[in-house]
Amino acid sequence: MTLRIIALSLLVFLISCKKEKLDFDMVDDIRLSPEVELALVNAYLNLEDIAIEDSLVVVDPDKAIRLKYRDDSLFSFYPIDFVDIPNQDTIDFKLFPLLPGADIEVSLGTIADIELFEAVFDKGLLHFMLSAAAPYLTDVDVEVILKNATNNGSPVAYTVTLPAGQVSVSESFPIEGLTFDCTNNGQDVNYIGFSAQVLDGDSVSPNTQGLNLGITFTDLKIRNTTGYFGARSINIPDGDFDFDISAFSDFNDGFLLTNPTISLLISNEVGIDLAFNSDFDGVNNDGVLTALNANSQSVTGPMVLGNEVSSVLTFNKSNSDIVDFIGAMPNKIFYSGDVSLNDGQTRTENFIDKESQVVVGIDVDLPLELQIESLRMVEEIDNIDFITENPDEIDEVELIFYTENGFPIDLNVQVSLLDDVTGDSINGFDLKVLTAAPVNPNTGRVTQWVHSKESIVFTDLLIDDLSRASTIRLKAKLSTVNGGSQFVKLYTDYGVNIKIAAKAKLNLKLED
Amino acid sequence: MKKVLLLVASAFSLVGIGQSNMLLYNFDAVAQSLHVNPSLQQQSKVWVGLPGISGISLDYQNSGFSLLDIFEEGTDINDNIRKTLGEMDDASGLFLNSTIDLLGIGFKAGKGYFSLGAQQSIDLKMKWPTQLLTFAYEGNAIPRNRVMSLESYNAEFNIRTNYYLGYQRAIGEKWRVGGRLKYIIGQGHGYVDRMNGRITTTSVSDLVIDTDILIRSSGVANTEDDIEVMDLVFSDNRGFGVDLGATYTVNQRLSFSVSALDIGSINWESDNREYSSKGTFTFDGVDADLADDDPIKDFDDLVDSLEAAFDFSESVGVGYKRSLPSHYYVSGNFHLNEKHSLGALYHLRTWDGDAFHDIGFNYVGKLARGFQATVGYSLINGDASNVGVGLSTKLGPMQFYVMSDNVLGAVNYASLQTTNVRLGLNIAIYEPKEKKMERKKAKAAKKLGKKQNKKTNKSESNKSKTPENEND
Repeated sequence: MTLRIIALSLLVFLISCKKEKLDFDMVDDIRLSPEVELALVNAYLNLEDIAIEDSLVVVDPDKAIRLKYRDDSLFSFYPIDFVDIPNQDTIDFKLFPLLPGADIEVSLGTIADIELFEAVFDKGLLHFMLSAAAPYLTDVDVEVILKNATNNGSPVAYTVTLPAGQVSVSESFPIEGLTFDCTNNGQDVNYIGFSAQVLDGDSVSPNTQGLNLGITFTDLKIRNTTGYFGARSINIPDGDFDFDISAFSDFNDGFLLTNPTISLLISNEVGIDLAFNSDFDGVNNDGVLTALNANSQSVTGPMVLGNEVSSVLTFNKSNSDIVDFIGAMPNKIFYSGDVSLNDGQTRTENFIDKESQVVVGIDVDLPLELQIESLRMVEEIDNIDFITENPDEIDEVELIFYTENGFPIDLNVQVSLLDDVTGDSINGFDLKVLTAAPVNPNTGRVTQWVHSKESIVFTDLLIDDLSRASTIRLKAKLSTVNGGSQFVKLYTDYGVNIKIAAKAKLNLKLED
Repeated sequence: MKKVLLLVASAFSLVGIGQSNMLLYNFDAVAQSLHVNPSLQQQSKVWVGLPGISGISLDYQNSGFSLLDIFEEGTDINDNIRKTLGEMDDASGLFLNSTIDLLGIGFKAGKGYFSLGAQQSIDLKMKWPTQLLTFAYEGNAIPRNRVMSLESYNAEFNIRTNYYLGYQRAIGEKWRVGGRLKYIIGQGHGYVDRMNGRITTTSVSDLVIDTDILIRSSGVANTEDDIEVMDLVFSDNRGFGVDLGATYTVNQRLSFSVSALDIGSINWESDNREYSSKGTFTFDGVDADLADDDPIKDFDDLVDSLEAAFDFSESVGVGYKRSLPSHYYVSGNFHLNEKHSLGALYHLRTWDGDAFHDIGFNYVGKLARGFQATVGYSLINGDASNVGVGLSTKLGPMQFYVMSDNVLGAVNYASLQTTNVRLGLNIAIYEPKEKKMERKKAKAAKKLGKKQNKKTNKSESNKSKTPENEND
């Protein structure tokens, strides 16, 4: 009986227990909603890395950075640019066997009225054309003396023979190495004197018939000469060079280097003073042309033949528009202009030899000492496709920017989401990406890095708009410290670390 | 993921029917009670456990959550998960145990009782990585998850065969003591020696991951060759353990008992492996060198960095010694009469520096010689919903028993967090019944009386034949 009572009680007890129901289909409803915080990207930039990579960058011993473009031979002037003697006209005169010889004095024709005082020819021919109306019965010898020329100190004379039975003869003599005194003993310039006579005129038959003698200088090249090369101009050969500063190629405006210079490096072996009237025009990525507007500057030449005078003509912000010129960020620079010879009119005698040159190089020196008040850049990113799948799974995202900035630069970015159809801005936000590091006002050098934290919260609305937008427009505004009122210098130990982290409230559904 | 969850949930629900050691401790009808109470006087004078089926037990404890906590109909599962994670702590764990009595024999010898046999045991203990689960579910941006530590996580499994020899006897009228010596051969083991793992989210969103982890394992799990049965039975992983118990009988109605079980250790020497990691890795985003035309390099670099930083390694391990998972019982029993008694029981287990306390009250009723029962209520590791029942029935010498510390779990498995089941088939021969004894005694006495009467009558008749009688 007792056993029955116990068994019955136990049964009633078990049956009376509450049986809760389970619903395993609830698994479908599980949504993971973690709040995740994670660093995404740790971006860093060290100026030293850029400096090493860019061939235009030069680092000073104090780590200051400058951009430097140098070409030691941008263009040159050669002797022919200073002294050019064309082929001379033929000098004709008549000789008679029985009469005394003739003295002829002529002036050497030169380009641009160059006045030669003394000249040694490196090359050239002296042509003689001897002719008669009728053949002579005997050979006729004619002697021509160059009165103002010597050959290693000896007088220079030529004999031309008209053979019997011929009415003409032509003969040429090289004048290489002959020294001409073109001053006629200080009385003249470009002077050439001849004397000519028939030798043994008594034995010439018929000795009453006259001879025609023509003398011509051709192919004249100066070995060295003194003179006065004239107060005139010679053209600078047109040319151009690339000036691609890749690190700054995105900046087209508002970028002002405060102390740029362009220098012409002139090596002058010609005894002449020169004034450079150079024109430099830069063209940037947008095709905008900007002129340097450099003032004319002079250099002197050596006082002794064989010497060389090196000169530097510098164009800076006080004698040119170089600040604007560089500020336009040219990627190609064109040069032209002219050079004025003897512009100072202090020198009365010039000299040159066949090896003499004026070599002009260029040195573009851009110390990265700058002031930027408001440099603006605009970038549009098309066909964005950030969130096309399950935007509902992200409730909120906060992007956090941890910045350690060693640049004396403020950078603000205005982000606009543009409508797919209309192109209008449908949403957006501003972000202060960089806070300028403070600088020493005297040196422009950064005194300490700045740590900052900025964040932008992507709410549901912003995320929706982001998924709706097709284009993102980024307007960046960049300025140096204190709104650009303070000049700053860039050094290789500058850098920036930007860590972008995301804090996201997710709402994820378990996958089947 | 959904399938995995359902699989895990189903597996837990399968073990939600059964019987427990809280009831077994005082249930002297079943000789398997000696496993937990070596000094408990047995009803059987001879007991033989049928090989492989005399004692099968499964034990399940999940102090972290029940199915109902997660899947209760009509509730929001996300709220449930959040609430459950919030209520779990570093001590929340999953404990699974299974034993099979391979062989068992017990018999009375004089004033003592011998027992011997072999038992196969599989034991798994694992603390829930609560912080890691919370970290994964809530994310690292939550203030309390900015430092996620795995230091409280621990796990250990143990597969072993106990060969035991036990003896108990009465000492005087008040005391009964018992003990059992175990020779142990271990088949497999693994444990977490160090789990110093930590993920810290810094104030600048970096993740700093530190590891100092050492996991050791031994035995069959590490055997790459074909497993030979003899290698399992006679592996080189040997140990000893003892179970001790004592019962003090205050008077006819009141008694107390204590037992200390699995005092000993195993030396794990064969097929040892060590898995370790030690290092620190800071993830502060994918590096991007803005001076580079291709600022972000291959992600493989990141993986390589992780591997190098944590120095993961698997190596042949050295031998090690691990203590057995000891536990202790203290009980007081009030005997209403010879058939009915009430008991109170305290059970203490320790593992990984944590103590797990069970308290139970039970009733043992010898309702009939062939049918005995026990019922009880237990508070097991903080779970207060354990109502247990145990039954033993005998048909001749064949004894079948089944018990569970939480039969409610069989009905209401949804909220099950703790249960066990033990059942088996023995040959058990009890002491003869007292009435039978008395009848035998009476019968013997009657026989003896008849004999004496006959003797008396005979002597009296002989007396009558004496000359005196004859004279009368």
